[in-house]
Amino acid sequence: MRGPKHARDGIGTACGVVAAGVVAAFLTVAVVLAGQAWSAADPGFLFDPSSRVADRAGIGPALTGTIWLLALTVALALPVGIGTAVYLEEYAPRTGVAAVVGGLVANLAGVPSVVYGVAGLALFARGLGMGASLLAGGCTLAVLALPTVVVTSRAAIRAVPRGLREAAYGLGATRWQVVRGQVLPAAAPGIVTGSCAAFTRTAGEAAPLLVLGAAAFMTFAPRTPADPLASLPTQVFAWSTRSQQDFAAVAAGAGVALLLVLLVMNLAARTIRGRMQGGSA
Amino acid sequence: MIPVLAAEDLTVRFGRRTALAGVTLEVPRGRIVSVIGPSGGGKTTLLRAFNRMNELKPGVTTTGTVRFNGVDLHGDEVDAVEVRRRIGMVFQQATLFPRSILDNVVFGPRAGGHTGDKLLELAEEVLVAVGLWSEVGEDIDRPAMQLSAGQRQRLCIARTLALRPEVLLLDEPTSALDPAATARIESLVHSLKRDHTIVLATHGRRQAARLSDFTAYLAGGELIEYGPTESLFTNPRDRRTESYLTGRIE
Repeated sequence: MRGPKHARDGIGTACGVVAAGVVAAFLTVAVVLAGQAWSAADPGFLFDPSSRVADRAGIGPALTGTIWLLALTVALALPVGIGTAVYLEEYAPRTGVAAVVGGLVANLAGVPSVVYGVAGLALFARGLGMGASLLAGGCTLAVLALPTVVVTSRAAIRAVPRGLREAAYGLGATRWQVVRGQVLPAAAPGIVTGSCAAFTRTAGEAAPLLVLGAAAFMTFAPRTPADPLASLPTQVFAWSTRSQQDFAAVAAGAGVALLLVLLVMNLAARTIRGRMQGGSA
Repeated sequence: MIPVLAAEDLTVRFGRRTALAGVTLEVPRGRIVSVIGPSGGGKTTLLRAFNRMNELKPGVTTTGTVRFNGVDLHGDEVDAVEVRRRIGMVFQQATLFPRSILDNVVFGPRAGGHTGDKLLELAEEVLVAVGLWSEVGEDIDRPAMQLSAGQRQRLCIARTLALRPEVLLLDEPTSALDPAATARIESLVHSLKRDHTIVLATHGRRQAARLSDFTAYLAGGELIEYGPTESLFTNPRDRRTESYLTGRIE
């Protein structure tokens, strides 16, 4: 009995070391970023527009732009993604349509984001005349997030116990009542978790927005989705290509701001998920 | 008199697997018909054919007819949702909705568009009928998940009764219960016979003998024998039935 137990302890120790390494790596990134960003930290940094002088450069337009993009992405991708998943799982399971659409969606998840940028440029910016606007950016990022939202929502819906559906159908519920009253509430925590991962990724995307023509220099914060496209990732990219050493600090500052935005979003999602689970118990 | 339920040459296939093969049988009004037979013999499929639950599974094909009070259940003008409200079903696994006892009881009427105080009266009535009203101390806002296994299954029966169905389909309602809880359900089923026609799928031969007026023996998707419970048990006509009843086939 001693042998296997010791072996298990060995594996446990190894896992602990690896986990500690991950935490250390994460802390290192945070400390390096924060250290670099330190010199840029002043209240004006959050609100000021970008500038040719690093000392005066702020992330006002980029921060507002990223919040707009995040909101637009969620508002567009979540309903469409959940709707697609519900259709595939509840209305057309194991049909030819489901197989084709499902396969297509799964493959779309593997397409590089810069390719979505090219498609977004042709479709949204030029084809639908949105130009290099936040709306075009939001639409492009929504399309980028969509496959992941669909795939994770399908998995969450599939994990809902069949007995729950049958109990509702057996009591004379319509398909929509079953979906709305049983399937979606039970699947919601999984949908939120998976979708959050998708939105965290798209909010950090610079490549597709650069293809669309994101502004590297804006003097005002965007107020509507029709305003020019600005975002934190593209701002970081723009600053990091400048030769002056001082811009490294503001780029790091913008990076920290991006992490904070994503942290807030994930905390909000956790709260929503907790409420839903608490409410249904 | 028209039988409440009548299956004629009923065949149900899931993909290439035949679950029911040409079953013909009639369920007389106000009686308890039990369906016995080995696992995978088609008991559940037959019950589900009576309220059109089979079609919820992908890849199912049904041929032959099922009539409810003489009306073809698969007719063009028949709505499957309406069928399930009039022919209620209780499943083997007592799956409750993760809400209150009250929400579970009135789920069906609410889905049918009923609201208001009448729902509370209805809830009390059916909870009394299944003997849960006094047990839960009239506290029907409690989470349903707090109930014991036997209570859960009785809540499932109450939930189905709240639809005021003509027919009750009970799919092995006691298979997951201990003897005491089983006895409670059995006496409940017996009392429900007054107002309902009941089809009871059961693994327990003795349960079928105790409760039912007629018994059908299903094996391999075929109806081997169907007749009054007493004569089927004491004097089976088919040797396969006899083997099953004497325990030589499980």
